[in-house]
Amino acid sequence: MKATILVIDDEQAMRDSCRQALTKDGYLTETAEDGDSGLQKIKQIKPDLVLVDLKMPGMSGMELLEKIHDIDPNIVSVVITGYATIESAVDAMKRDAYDFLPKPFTPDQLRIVTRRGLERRALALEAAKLQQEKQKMRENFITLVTHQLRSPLVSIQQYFEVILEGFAGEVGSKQKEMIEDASKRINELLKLINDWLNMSRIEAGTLVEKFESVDLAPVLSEAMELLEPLAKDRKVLLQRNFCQGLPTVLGCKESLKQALANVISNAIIYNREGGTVTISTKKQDHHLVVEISDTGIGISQENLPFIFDEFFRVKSDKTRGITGSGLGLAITKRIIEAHNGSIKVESSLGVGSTFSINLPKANVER
Amino acid sequence: MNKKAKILIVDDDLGYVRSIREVLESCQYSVEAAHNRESAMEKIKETKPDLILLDIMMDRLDDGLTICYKLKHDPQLRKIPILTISAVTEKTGFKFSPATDGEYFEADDYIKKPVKPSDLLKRIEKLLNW
Repeated sequence: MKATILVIDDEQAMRDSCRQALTKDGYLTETAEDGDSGLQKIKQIKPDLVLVDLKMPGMSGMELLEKIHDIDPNIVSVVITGYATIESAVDAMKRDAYDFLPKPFTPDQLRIVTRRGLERRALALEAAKLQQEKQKMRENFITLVTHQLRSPLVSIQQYFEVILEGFAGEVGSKQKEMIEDASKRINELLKLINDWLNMSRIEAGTLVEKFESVDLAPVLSEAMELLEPLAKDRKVLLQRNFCQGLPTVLGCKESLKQALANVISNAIIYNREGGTVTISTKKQDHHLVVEISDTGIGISQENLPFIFDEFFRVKSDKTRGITGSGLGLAITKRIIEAHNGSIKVESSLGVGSTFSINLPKANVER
Repeated sequence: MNKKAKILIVDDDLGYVRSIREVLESCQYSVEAAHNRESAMEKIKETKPDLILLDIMMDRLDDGLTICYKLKHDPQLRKIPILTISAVTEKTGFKFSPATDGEYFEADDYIKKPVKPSDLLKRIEKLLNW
């Protein structure tokens, strides 16, 4: 494929001679006479390389360099100027110009610089492609490992299902009880693998790809709905105290739901019978805050620093009967941080805990 | 009732195949099995099953999807109903269902592993009687 080169220079003679030399070499050459029309052309024709004059009426070459970089950092810019000084060269390089060609120059000099710039572009594109492939491989690797871990467990579960429905002969009540118990344990392990998988995905940085504008109130409501049966089972009351007109956040809806559900589910599980979980939202400058308060067993001061650590679980008489992977809050923290937010906790033993999740408003992003 | 129907199980997990085979044979279905994409395609052409139980991830992540695509674009084989059984869920990174992604994934039905044998049998009957 022919490379496309755009010459941005206010001098007609310069544009013409560059075009002549480059066209002769087989490049597709376009020209523009100032920064504004140059930028427009860049968006239209997506050139591989741009020759930029530094001194032009209107937008300066330096400003133009920055804007080109914003459009596509892989477009190679070469500065051509009649006012070549060390300072201007350094300035241009700082703005990601690849090369600097002082006027007057010969067609041969132009060719050498152009060829070098295009080689550089090819390398940059190749590197970006490799980076993408690496990311893809990492994703596939996570999926494969998870599949390998899950398959045998699912297979065991399938045997249990078949046995329990009597397809492998009659099953006595004690046998049934034990198999059901075994099946429960396998489910715990499957959940652990899912949690681990979720965490690896967040680590792989794939979350950001799914960012959109999210209204938190319905997300919270869905999370609460999901946990209503658990709350009922534990005789815990879920209360909501949402403020009106909560701004949206920029994020991944499913992940946010999971992050919030993890905290709410803890608030239910580590509560007392007849206790409550209050979920409130409020606006705060450029942030919004979700608070999840429970009336549960609380967390001791010595345990507080560790509760967001992977696989950390509070061990006491009160928590012995509670199963879990120890990944819930670690996942929540990572999800919230991937959204440029923060999570903190206040707790007093025997009284309850309050988790506050801080998320930036969507429109103050960037 | 279509009790003599021939069912092909395509799954790389031998234990899984065994437990499902037990269920199907106890209901008088005749059962064949294949454990990878290549042998599955051979078995399908050779034995002309009445229904296929299809796993998704085998040697490659998308073997089941490929088999499904090939069958549904073959004028002779496209009428064989496909029931996909997979542990692949949103959680494992793929998100698809015949309901929303029918264009790409033309299976006739889809259930998650592990399956309840009674549920599996019900779905099989329904597909065979179409």
